[in-house]
Amino acid sequence: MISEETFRGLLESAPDAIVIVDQQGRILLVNSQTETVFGYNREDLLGHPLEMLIPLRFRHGHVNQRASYFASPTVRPMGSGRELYGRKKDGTEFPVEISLSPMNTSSGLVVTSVIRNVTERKRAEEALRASEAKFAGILDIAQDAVISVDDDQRIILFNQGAERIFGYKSTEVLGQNLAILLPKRLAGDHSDHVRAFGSSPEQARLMAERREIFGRRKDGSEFPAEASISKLTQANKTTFTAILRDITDRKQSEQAIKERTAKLQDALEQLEAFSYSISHDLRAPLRAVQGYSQILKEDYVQRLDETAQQYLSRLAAAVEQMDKLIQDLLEYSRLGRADVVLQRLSMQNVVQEALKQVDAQIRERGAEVSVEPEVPTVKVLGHFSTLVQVIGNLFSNAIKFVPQNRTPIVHISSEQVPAGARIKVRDNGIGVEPEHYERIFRVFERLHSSEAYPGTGIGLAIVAKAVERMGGRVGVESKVGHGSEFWIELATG
Amino acid sequence: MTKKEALILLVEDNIDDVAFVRRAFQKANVTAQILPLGDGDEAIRYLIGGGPYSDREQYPLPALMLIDVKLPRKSGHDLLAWLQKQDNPMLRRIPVIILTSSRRQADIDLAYDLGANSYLVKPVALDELVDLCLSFGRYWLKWNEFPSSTNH
Repeated sequence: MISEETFRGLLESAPDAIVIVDQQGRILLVNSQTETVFGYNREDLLGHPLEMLIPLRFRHGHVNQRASYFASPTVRPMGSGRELYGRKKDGTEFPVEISLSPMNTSSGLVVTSVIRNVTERKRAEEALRASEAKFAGILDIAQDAVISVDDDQRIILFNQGAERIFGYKSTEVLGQNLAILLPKRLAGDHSDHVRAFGSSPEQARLMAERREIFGRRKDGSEFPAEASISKLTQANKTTFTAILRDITDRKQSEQAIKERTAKLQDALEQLEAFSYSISHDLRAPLRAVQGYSQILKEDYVQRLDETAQQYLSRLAAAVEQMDKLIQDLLEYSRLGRADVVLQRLSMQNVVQEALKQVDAQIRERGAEVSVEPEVPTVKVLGHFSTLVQVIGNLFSNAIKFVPQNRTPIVHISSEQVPAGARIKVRDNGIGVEPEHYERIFRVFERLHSSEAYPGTGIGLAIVAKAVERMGGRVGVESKVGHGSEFWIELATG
Repeated sequence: MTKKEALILLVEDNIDDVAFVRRAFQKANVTAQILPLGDGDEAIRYLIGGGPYSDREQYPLPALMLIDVKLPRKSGHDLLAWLQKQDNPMLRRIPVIILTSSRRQADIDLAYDLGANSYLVKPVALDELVDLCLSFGRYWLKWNEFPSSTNH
């Protein structure tokens, strides 16, 4: 038999409020937790009806319920299925959980109620519910399908995104095997993968990183998908969650881009073939005309009168002009397409090579070409043969556009500019009016008849295109009648 | 055995170019017999002694071949590939020089890949073509040593 003191100790150390009432519902005994929970002093409670601890609106009903309990007393939790509330001395209510146990004593049947304040638990439950609702809300507004399966690959979560993508209602698929969402031809493969992933230490992986995957809609149609999968292991149960996106549209636009790229590639190759045809087929008859007129001039000169010989010269000049035109056009179109890989170039080599190109022209016109001492020390970023052509064309123009009665004087110099280096080619030629500064860099733009200044009208267009491909700029400053200064700017790297 | 003029097969479909090359060799005083053939198939027929070329006395194997890249039917490249896989060393070893108007890098590289011995681009000016033939004659017919059994 435990002593009164031990019994008291047990009562006081209990975490819940313990209230013992007699058959009339009067409070016989309370522990100190009761005082804490309800805010009453022990003296306020003892001998008073139990109903003082109950909100007013339940008191009347409680009296009847208490009576029926005493009629058939059992140990049981109270008010199953109902929310129970206690009432503090200050009138505030709080949710409680109560268990009842009857006890026969010498003074008759008494009932012990163990009362627990569940405010905190209710709050936590409420927070959990809110959080779950929020999570469900997020899941539902997600455009992607979010699908969870358990260890046995049964579907346990299927959001609205999944409903839209797969065409199933979640009620149709929950509890079903994941296989119903996969093409039949791949279902076996897939479960192997899931098993492999289940036993791997990875926490998440992008499925499409490894291969293209496919989903199967309710109507049986397949679609390409991209998915990431993660796993969560709790209490020895693993949940796999896949976030999956239908990439049909993306695949289609990728395909469209691929097709268009192929078409462009095709067009480019045709252009290449076309350029080649021009170079080969168009120039072949031209070379024949050129050759035969030369043969006539060389081998049959005694049998031709002066007029015939003059015509032959005109013929040769026309053919040469056409050949130059074709070559320039080819070069211009090649510049637009060719890969231009930039390197650090020494202007010394470039200028030397460019001078070689115009050597015949220099001698023909008795031109004086001077190179400023610092030019050979300049290094620029460019493509060698392209830059040689640029400088060569500028030299050639500088010599060409000088009146016949004037000795061409060409000077090349350089200066530092924010973009890198500016290379300037100055002449003493006829000059360019400011309103033509831009036009002259376009294809086929000529300011003079080809009788006065022969050329194809492509030379400066090649310069502009070439400099543009090398990432630089081109321009001109000029004084009509006194000469021009054409410049290019290139990075110095 | 009397030393004959070297026989050069000129595989070229353009009759103007044939005329220019013939004239240039003449002007350059290169003593060689030039036999023009219009395409790659015709050249192969000649080399294997097929059809009208069955008489080897009349149609001996050439000392050199000058071939264009762009030809009807079998191209110059096809012809190089064909030569390269011949079992007969007398065919396989014939020096082949490309003479074409194509400066296309792809054409040049492929020709060397297929065993061309040299690649020459036809100069536009006739006097340059004469110059080329002069150098050609001195190099290939004066200083160059030939493999056995060709007619040089």
